[in-house]
Amino acid sequence: MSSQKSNQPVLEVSDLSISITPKNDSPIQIINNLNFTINSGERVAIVGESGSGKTVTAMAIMQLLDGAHYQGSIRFLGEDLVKKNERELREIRGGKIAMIFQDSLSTLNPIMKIGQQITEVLMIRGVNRTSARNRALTLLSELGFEKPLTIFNHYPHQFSGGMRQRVMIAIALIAQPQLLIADEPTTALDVRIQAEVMNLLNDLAEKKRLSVILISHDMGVVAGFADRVVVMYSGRVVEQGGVQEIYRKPKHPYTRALLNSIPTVNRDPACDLPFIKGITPEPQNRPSGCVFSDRCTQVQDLCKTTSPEFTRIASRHEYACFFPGNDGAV
Amino acid sequence: MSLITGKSFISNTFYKKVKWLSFYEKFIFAAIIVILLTAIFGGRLAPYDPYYVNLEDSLLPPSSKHWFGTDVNGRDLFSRVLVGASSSLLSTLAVIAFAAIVGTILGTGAALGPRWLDEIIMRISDVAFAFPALILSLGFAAALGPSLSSAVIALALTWWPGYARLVRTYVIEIKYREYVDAARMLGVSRNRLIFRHILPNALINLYVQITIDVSAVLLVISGLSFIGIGAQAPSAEWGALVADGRNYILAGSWTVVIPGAVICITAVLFNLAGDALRVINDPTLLRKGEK
Repeated sequence: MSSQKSNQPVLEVSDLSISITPKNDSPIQIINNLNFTINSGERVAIVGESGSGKTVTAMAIMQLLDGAHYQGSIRFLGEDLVKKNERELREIRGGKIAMIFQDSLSTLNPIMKIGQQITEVLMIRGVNRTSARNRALTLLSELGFEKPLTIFNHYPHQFSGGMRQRVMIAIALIAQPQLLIADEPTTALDVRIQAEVMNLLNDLAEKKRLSVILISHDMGVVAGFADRVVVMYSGRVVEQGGVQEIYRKPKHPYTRALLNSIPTVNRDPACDLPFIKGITPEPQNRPSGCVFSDRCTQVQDLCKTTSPEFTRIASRHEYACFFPGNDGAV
Repeated sequence: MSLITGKSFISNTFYKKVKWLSFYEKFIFAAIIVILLTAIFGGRLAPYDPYYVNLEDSLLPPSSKHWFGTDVNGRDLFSRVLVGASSSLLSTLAVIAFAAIVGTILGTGAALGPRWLDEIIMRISDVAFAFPALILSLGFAAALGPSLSSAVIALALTWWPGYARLVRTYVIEIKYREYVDAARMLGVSRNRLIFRHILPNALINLYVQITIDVSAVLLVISGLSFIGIGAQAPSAEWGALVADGRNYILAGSWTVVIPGAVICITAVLFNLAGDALRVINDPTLLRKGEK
């Protein structure tokens, strides 16, 4: 790998705003002024509640949001994905940026054999059948399938959830992408299989020097996997930083509330589990000022009128809040 | 569907599936195969010339010499049923093939194409649906002049809207499935998405409709021949056989009952085959012991 390449960020999202225009209605801004960078080999977790814009961000990177209007840029290896045409994007999708999903049963084609689905990714890129097959077989054995040849002729429904998830990882990695987006890859699995899949992702990412975006709302999974955490709330980033900083010195009340609501073994069973009151606002009903102001426990008058700018406290730790918490570890 | 994608109808899995069929399903498929072979080779198997008039043998009841008896002109009914199989079944299959192919193309176009195309195709099919198929094809056939081929053309023109509707519905349903999105994210092109991912999943449901329609179309074609708009006089088309015999129903009931029974049994068999075919073609329907 050349030195120039390793210095260049794999993905650089700058000032990204996305709006969609529903039929006969005014545009709705679903993503607001997003900034984050992913360096080569880095693992970044995007966390936040449902509706905070995590998946939309992933879809935007893939340029698969139908009818969306983009402002700002999404640079992949220096090239702006927003400006690319459909043909160039097809090369990138699955080839250089791959994605794995939450529900492996519904994301695999039910009437195509596993083998065909894995090799398809290569064959649409002009690799011939035999070498596609060989690469797929090698990858499947790397993924811990003992008899990759028999896997080939099976249909998705004939596998367990954990096996299907590994098949999806195989489909994602077969074309040797540089960036892997894992959209809640373990949410549909039980805890033991979750650990298995995350370990597998961990090993593969290391071995293949992959950059990974992990989208999750499971703060436990994130802590064990990511180098850096981006906390999203209602279409914007509220805090981002290294995994140590976010977990030990969270600043934004939302981050702190998220961390607070993780059940721990030694908490007082007599107390209720802390939770965040209310729900994520819909994009058209966001409060003016700070987006979190209507649910924040530390809210002041200023928060309701003015949107906070980012404050940078460490080289890569920044948050958007006027009244950050200082009580350190939760 | 194999007709469209040229794929997977006869494959290893197909043979494997056959192994797991129940005796009852094997029997139905065997019967269907016999019927189809009769349609293709019927003329050569006929023991007598089906068009040879021999008034001395008029209206002989079924016997070892004439298995199905003879008609009023002394023609061997068994030979006529065998020969008639080809005109009845091949014309039925022609109607279904046309309807399914045209319906699939138009239905897919309606589901995936621009809005105006959808509107045009669906409004035309609305018009076609407003008339019962039999009445509409009656009109077409009358306009084209009475013959078997005009009956086939008339039916083909009236039968496609059902398929267009069906395919449109399935394609719309399938195109929002997550695996279609997933395939897009892997860089699969639009054409490949349609032909490899959407259509095979949508058309799997057509097999059943096709087998049910075989019996429906067979009945309508026979019906058209019976009322004199389809196959004409010397023809041995099954509906025409019933029409020929109906004047002699008291003197020779077999001339009506036997062709009628043949039509009925064929229709029922194709209906039953539809259910069994679904099991073979849907890999997600598993049976005991199948791997």
